Amino acid sequence: MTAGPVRISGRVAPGGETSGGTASGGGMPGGTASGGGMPGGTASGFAVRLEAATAVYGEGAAAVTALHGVTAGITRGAFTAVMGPSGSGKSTFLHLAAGLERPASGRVLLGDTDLSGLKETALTELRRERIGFVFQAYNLIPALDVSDNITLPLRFAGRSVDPAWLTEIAGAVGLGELLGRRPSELSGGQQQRVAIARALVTRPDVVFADEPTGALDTGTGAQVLRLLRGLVDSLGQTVVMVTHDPVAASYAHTVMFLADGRIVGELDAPTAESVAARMTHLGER
Amino acid sequence: MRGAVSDRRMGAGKSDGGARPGGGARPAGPGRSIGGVRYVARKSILARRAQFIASFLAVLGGAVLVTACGVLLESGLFAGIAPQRYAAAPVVVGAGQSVTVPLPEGPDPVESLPERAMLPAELVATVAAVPGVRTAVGEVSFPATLVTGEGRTLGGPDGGEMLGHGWGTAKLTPFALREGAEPRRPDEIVLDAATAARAGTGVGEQVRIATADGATPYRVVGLATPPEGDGLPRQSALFFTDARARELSGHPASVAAIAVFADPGVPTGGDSGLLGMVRSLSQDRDTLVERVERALAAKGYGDNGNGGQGYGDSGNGGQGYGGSGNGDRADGQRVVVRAGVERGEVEFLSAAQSRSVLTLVSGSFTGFVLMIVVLVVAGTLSLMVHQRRREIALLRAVAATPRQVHRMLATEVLLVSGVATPAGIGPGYLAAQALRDGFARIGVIEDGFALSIGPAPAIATLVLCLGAARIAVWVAARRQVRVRPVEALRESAVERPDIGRGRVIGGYVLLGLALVAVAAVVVVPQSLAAVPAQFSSMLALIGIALLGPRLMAALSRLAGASLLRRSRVAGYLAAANSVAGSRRLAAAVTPLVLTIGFATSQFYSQTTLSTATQYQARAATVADFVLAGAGGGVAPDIAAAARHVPGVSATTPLVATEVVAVDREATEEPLSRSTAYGIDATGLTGTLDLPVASGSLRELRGDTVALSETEALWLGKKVGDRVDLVLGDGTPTKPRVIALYRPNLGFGDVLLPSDAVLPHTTDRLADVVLVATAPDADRDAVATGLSALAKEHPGLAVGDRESLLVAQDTEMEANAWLNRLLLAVVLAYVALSVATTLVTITTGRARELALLRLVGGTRRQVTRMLALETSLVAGIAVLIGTAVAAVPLTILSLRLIDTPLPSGPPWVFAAIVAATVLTGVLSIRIPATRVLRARPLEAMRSRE
Repeated sequence: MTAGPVRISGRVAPGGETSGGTASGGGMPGGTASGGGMPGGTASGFAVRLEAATAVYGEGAAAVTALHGVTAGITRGAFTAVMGPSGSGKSTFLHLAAGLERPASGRVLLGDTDLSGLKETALTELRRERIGFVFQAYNLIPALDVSDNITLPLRFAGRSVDPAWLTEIAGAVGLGELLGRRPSELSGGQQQRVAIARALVTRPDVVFADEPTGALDTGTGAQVLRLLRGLVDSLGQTVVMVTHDPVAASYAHTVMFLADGRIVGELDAPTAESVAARMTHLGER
Repeated sequence: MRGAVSDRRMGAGKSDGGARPGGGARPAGPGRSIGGVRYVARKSILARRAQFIASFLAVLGGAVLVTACGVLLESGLFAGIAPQRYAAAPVVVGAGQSVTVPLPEGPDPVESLPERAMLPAELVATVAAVPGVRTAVGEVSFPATLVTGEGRTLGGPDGGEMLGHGWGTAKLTPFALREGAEPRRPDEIVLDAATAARAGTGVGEQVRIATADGATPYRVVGLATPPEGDGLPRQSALFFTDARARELSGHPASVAAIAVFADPGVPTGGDSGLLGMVRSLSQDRDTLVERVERALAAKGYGDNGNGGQGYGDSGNGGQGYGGSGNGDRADGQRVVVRAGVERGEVEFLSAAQSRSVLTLVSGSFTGFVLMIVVLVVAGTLSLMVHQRRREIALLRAVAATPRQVHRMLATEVLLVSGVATPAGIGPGYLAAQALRDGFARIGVIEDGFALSIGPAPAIATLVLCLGAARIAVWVAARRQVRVRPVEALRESAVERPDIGRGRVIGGYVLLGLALVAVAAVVVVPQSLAAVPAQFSSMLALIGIALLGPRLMAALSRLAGASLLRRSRVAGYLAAANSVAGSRRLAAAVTPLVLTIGFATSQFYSQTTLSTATQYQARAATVADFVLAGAGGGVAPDIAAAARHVPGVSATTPLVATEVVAVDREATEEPLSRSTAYGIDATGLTGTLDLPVASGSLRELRGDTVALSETEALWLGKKVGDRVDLVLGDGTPTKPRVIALYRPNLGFGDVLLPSDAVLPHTTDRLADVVLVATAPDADRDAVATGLSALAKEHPGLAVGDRESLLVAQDTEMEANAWLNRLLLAVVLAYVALSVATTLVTITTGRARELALLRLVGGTRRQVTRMLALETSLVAGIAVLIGTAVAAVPLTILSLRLIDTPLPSGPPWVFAAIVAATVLTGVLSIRIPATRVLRARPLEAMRSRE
């Protein structure tokens, strides 16, 4: 159907070598961009592209334009952070890129699929198959245990669960022992790991994370961020993370800055300091 | 295609249309993915048992009600009352106990007859001549009262009837002599042993028997018993000689029924019930029932299927009486030939009526119950779904299509209702039995009426309840499924207080219509005035339910201001919560308002109407004395006797009956049944003062009638016109209208000469006799004279004007009680739903309450806040519920009884309010206490 995006499953093998919860592949935060390599700027190098995408909330006089014709691409196989002050449109950017909402005008392309033309059911199925989500909080269905929560998208897609794959991702996020627990029996960090495992279970094109560490303490947050970075480096998984925390952003390959509904800059190989400096600069404008 | 997906499951997984993004038509098949949906649904129920209890109870209660309705409906169609008196006669012929008009299209309307319709005695010979008939016996039956030696009057057992018969008919039961001999002389009598025991008399002793012809002494010559026991369960039997019985019956040429005994080996037929119906279709049609029917039809007496008196145009100016096929007989009557349990219909006047009441009531009531069940279940489910907003949003974001969410919720509900419905069916059968007992106690159905118990109601309940739950969850989920997936990303699910514009408009329109209905209370005929009053409350209640959240926001803001003044912490929070959570508040208050408003309006409009009947009757009565009889009534010759008491200037009997007016030009409702009174036009001066609009009541004699203005308007008649009436026993008459009088609920819509009415009543007795004294007479002397008269007539009581009690419209009265009973059942169900709703709401606030504790609220403060909120909820509910009922009731009372205060016992209102408020308070208080007992931190974590 599609032109065949890069097969994630082809890179699963190295993921098996990623040991336990400590994702070592990413190296030091703020270190140089890893050997994963930055694919070039060609169209096929983008997992997601926004073309002149505009988002409007509300109607009539109360209408607020959250994004003004944004054109941007998410590099395949990279960890991209999206930053900006409150109200900059970064969450809207994520909603559009992830197919949670449709743009008022413009296009959103996942690979070669135009999301803006899809009906709700088709969109849901596409999210289920090709996109993974990690939210800030309330990621899990309280009635289901960890393993059921992880395999939830598969169930709704009517697909069978491959036990080996479940074991593998559970191990990759460090939940091997906890598959039978209920969400209420887990710590916040553990809950986010379950959410990450669920996001990975369908081998999606892109994983979107919305402030994944917002509800966690610094130490736990750092573990989750290292895990995400590790997934990118070892599995070649494309990850997009929205955050307002320069430290969190420093785990990414690239940081995209948004202000007032527009993209105002990019920063490769970010450090917490350089991101913070740029943010301050944004604030001054 | 994408890899890694197991090929085996690929097809199934994609069958939802995923292979064609944006594709229009979706394959109908649910695919294998249902397994996932069902799995999540089952886990979900197990994990939140508490939340599903509300839905479970709602469906369970619904199943109980629907099953009960189904059993009653089936009984109305197929059950009957077992014959007692005719137990030994395999086939019984009776006169059709209803009247009907054939319509060119649609079902013919039928009105049942209140008095016993008789058969010509000559038909006994006709039936006896039918091949296969061994003997045919004409039954003579008339009401009587036994007067003991001490002057005590005695009716039938347990409020039943005491009936006189000829000894020749003793074998119908069969009654056999236990001691003594059969009656041979006109003054000899045989009593059933039970009656003799109650009267304390025996063979050889004297008793007096009072009938319409007065009280006469008889000598007891024998005691008889039926095959079992000392007497029949619900009637007493007195046996005279056959000649004396015919004489006393007042209808020497008529019989009440014909009992048919078959030759050996002749099938009687007439199986009843569903099975019987099926069997009769396949069987040969030569049973005794069929033969007798054919023989009677040949003589011009047919059964047109519903046992009614056919009233059709038969070519002789509308005077002809009879349905198709026998139109040339002026008195062509309908007869019914019955076997099996249906013989009870002939024996008990009200058996057929019991059936029709059951059919009608349970038919319409089932619809009402289904509506309530759908509403209650939908309410409970939508609350449950609402509380899972975020979960649904999450599912939508990561995995589930709207259809799948629908299906998941539907599966959950199917699992819950799949357990709840069968669980409710058993109790439903018991509830039907209890309702039957209730109906029998209030007299709507005959006491011996047995229910027909079959599997049909259970099957219908399964289908209806599961269907109702399915519809309800569809309605409840429809809104929630539209939740945008991004809601899952928000920190808290904030209530959206505003309601749709369509809903607001609908609410205001209904409130407007309610006002129109209030206005209609003043305009419509008095006897119907309660209808728009009740309807107005209903409209207002639905309107308020629609406007709920908006109304609650406004009211709670008002109430909030005063709460703020009273208490700093708890009051402030309670006020803030109520304003912010106006939708939640509305969900809590609306069912309470519905309960109070509906119950109050229903109850008091009926009591006011009942009071109005007596109030208006007394207002029109100017007589100084009222003579009433014990039990049955007053023999009509008392009126003449009383006129001879010195000082009495005028007397008139009041003979209450019902007539059916026939309006053959009317396309709808050509039959209307009305209360009618027989009066003596020569004795109206000083007794009855009914304002007349045109004509004069003094001319009410012979072939004439007076109509109320309402009735005249309905029938389109004026003074001088002739009007088609069917008297209580089915006799058609066409009297001339001589007067129109102002409507008076106490005296019905039709006045006839008493001597024209009396022969067509079952007991041939007047209800009361009104007595006027001459202006110059000594009132005390008249009272003494009347008392002396009363001494000669056992059971006669002398009272003043205030003691007058006119007969209530029996149908209306019975229906009023029926409504109350059914309403009580439904209200109990609604109360259950109120309770579960409030419990669910309160439990759902666990996190919020825990937060209040965490930020420094003491348990006491939080409890106090909840108590204030609860009193706010209860207060608003009482206020609105009362207002909604009070407005139309006030107008109704002003119209009918000239006072703004509706009539009826005030404790009922107090009880309604108390029960509602108590339900509300407990349903909030108990779960709140439990929630608050938990440690706040755990509550914060464990619940969403």
